[in-house]
Amino acid sequence: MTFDKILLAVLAMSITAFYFFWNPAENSFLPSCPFKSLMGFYCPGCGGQRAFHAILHGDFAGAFHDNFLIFIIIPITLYKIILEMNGSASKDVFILRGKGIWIFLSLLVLFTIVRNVPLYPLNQLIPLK
Amino acid sequence: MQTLQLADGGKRFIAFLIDAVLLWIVRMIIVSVLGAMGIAGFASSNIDMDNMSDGQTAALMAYFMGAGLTIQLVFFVVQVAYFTIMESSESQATIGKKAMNLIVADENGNRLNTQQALIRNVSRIISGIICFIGYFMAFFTEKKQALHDIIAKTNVYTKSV
Repeated sequence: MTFDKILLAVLAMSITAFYFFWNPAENSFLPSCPFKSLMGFYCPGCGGQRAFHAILHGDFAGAFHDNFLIFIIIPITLYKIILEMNGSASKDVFILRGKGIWIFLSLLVLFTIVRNVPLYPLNQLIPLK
Repeated sequence: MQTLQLADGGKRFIAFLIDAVLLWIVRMIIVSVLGAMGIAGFASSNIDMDNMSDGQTAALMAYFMGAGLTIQLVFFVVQVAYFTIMESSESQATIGKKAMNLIVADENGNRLNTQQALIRNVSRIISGIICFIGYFMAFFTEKKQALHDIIAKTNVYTKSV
């Protein structure tokens, strides 16, 4: 169990450090999003890496542009990591069940549609290059 | 008597990484073999590269795009077949899942038939195309199900004897 916790901590810190020093907007060696390449629309995750980089540098406005879901994902991920480190994962309250799963998926689809509308103010959700 | 427990997202993630590395190696083999065939086909076509008409240029581009698409399709079929055959087999697990002591079963813990396994693994497209959010759902759904598990009504369990 201790090994799992060390692994989790090392992974979380390495990923954070990686995105602090690496700017995905400047040079991206990863393949581009297949959703975007195939259909030309932004997927719900597009801009996520840029948003994480921006937030780590205190650029909250930029992060909001790139992918505002980062403001939801970071607190939830931190919360889950802390619970896991305390060995109290069973107390996790952020668990989707039943209809919650379908509400989550509907919101995801809605976000995908909304962020692709090229009109103000919705166009504020389109990732910056 | 073995008992089944819902598997944690972390273990599933590591199992997925192991399978991803194995499939990447297979992918490289497919790319090399089919790519070599494509280039051999081009080399035998007697096209003068320095004096190509627009039609020939277009045909050549279409040829290589077709070759690329064929490679993608072949790889997709191999990938789905690998997951489907392994998960509906007696071991109920891919190599990565075996390494992490995981098995795939339906919501009652029964072994999947080929059709269920096929639905599960074709649904991976949906889980993956939305930036892998479908996969990450295994970290925050009640039964630790990813989107393709929900669609196929399956679960991944940790095996303990």
